Amino acid sequence: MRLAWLALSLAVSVVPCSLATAAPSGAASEPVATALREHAQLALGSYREAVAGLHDLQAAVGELLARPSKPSLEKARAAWISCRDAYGRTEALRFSGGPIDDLHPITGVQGPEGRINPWPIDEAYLDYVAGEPTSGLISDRRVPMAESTLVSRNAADDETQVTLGYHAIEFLLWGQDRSREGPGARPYTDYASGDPVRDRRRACLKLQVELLIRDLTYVADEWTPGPDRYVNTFLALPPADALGRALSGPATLAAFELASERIGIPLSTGMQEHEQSCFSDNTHRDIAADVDGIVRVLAGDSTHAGLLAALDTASAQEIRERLARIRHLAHAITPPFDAILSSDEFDPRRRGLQALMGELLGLSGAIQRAGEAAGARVMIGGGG
Amino acid sequence: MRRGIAFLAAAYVILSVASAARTEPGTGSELHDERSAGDATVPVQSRSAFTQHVPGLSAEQLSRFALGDHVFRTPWVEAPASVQAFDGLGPFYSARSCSGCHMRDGRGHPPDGPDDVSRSMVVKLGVPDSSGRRRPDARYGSHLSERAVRGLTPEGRLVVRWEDVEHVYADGEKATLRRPRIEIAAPDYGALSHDVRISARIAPAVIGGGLLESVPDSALMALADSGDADGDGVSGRVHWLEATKPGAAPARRRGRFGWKASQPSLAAQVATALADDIGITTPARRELDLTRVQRAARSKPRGGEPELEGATLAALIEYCRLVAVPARRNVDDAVVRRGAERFRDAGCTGCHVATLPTGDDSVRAMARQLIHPYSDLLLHDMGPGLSDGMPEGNAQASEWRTAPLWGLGRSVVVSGYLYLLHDGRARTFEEAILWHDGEARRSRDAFEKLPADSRSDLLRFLESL
Repeated sequence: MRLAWLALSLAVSVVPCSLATAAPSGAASEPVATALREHAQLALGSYREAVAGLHDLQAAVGELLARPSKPSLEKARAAWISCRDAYGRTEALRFSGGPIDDLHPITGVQGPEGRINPWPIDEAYLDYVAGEPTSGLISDRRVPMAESTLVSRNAADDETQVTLGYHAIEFLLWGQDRSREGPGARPYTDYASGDPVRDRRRACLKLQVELLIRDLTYVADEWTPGPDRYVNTFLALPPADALGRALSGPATLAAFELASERIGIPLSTGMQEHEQSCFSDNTHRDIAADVDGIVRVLAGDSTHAGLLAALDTASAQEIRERLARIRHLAHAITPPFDAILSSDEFDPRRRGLQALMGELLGLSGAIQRAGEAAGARVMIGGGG
Repeated sequence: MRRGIAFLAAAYVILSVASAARTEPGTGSELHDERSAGDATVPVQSRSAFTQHVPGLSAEQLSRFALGDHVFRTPWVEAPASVQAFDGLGPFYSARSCSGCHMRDGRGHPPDGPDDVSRSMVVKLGVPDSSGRRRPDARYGSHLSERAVRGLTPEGRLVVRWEDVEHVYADGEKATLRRPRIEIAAPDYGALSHDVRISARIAPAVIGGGLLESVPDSALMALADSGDADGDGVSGRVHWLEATKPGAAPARRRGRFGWKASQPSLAAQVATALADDIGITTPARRELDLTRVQRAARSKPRGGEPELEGATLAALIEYCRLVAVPARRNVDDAVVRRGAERFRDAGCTGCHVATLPTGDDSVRAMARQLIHPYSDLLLHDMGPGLSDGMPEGNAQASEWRTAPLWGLGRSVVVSGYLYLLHDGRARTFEEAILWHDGEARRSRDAFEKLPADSRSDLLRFLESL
């Protein structure tokens, strides 16, 4: 039960005693090994699905830039929402030492998550906002609009300085959300060519989508078997360690990212800026997609067994029941999310979110206990 | 003979297995302990290595940590704003959020040169009075901010020029160090006092705060040796702080946070940083560092009286308390192990104390641990080369708190750079060591006299932290 990420991250010998508490990781039962292999295939499928969604977005953005109009902007927005769902379903694969957000075990390269899903966003850092018509990188014509600029300016001095990823693209498609009732209302004319600043915005959006595709393709490739690929290292780990990693993903996403950061904080502060997809009012779907991903990683899908197959029957049954309740609550969130934030404490929508938070925390505890019973150490991380 | 060695090695492994949960100080095994913070150590080694919480939190603690994390990263805005919860920035400020200087809870960096903008560095001002104590500058106070809210001009701009300093080792090898020359450009309220001292300091990393706070005073007292009674040339002393609350009974508290150990607790450190660096008032700091001549700044709207309090402030402090420390790497590497021994043999652990105990704590992973911050949290005279010319409280100009070394080996991954010492002048561990003087002179000399490969081993040890 050593803290296996460390040993793996650096691919060096580790003092056999130091981080270990006990090591019942030997003779892995066949169901555990099978579950881990299927988990790896499921991860690959999930990232491929996310990349495919991005290609649809790229086509729609191409259409928007070729012929800016209200319908082409609406289509690009619809493509964003659809590809966002596919990405959301991969988030249960974060926080588990994988290629999305950790150091590569062989190359040492930091995973690209910080370019894929950075949030929250200081909008004025990227583009104009109400009252500041010339703010942001897009208006700043002294700086070339190039991929290198977007990469180097992303979180240059502060994490809210976001130039890349899903939410930056979301902001460029919707604009600021200035109402409690609907999403942002950026006009399609922001993408009409022929003006230096608008041309920079056009170039920016195109580059953002390209880079996002490249980054997620990298992650999908790392889950594709091959020499020096992450998946090979993962499957070569002692099975209990690999199981501990894989379970840490959904446990951390449930307890920290979802229950605490993305639901708890917006609810307790009541601030619209604290909801994840605030520009598109898509936060309810973000949450549901994250939950669907948790369900898929744990319970599997039509072709792959989930991690529950590696756990004892009683634990698996308990987690299954919790997943059913969580799924129900997550899909019952009534949009727009920002309207719930301003609701009073008796509002049934608020009550529903609070129940979901409680269930997510309960799930995380149950995953941790079940992992322990299987000799796997589940870490609830502090996000990224 | 070989069998004997093998036997010894086996015995060592058994010993270290036995000591995995609790390293024994003084046995040497502490220098090779992967778990820098005992049970509060986390395995994450990525750019998120400094943003993890200590393991085993309850749901309630986790949600407080998450809220604190959020407050840490949320940029403050000018008052009045539609965003009620986080308004009240400035009027003068260095950064808009905690993470503006401590990005991903990591360290700050100095400007590259006179034209670069300082981003994660603060500027302290002091004018020595006749008794040698530090007084605020009459026009600018004790802190100079390089940013201001709309309609107000910043107090001034920090200009850093780097000067090369050649260093020659005993074996003839050379190293080029650099030293900052600091000035304030465009002072908005006229000239600073003619004898003002300017101390520019980078932001330290935020990890392990609760553990350092939990080290019992008695443990620090036991390490202190202000008169150097043991004659080792090292005379660490507690930074005794005078209670400044008007009307309160005189009380002395031990400082342990900040470059000069001027803050007795994380709560005090947080309140000071909020007020001086972001311009946010709290119950502990209701007044900002504004002087009488800064009238326009004083009349700017505030975001509340105070601007941050209650559960939100408590969550921010709790966050700083619960941030964990990443595990070390390569502790079994022979080079690293040799380097650790060179570090000890050079006397570095005289101040960079390898092991401290923590006291009782409501968080189990933090309670009664043996931790390895490589600091005694005491003040030491570091010699004239590092003096910032400015006494602070009872700390002299050349006295600095032993900087904790844990986590430094992850700085490049977390932040993309590593700058050491209070003003970030050292670009490598080696440069930092070569600046050591005063009480650390003997250790530096010992390092310099080591053969090049042993020096390199020692640096590899530091990288493993």
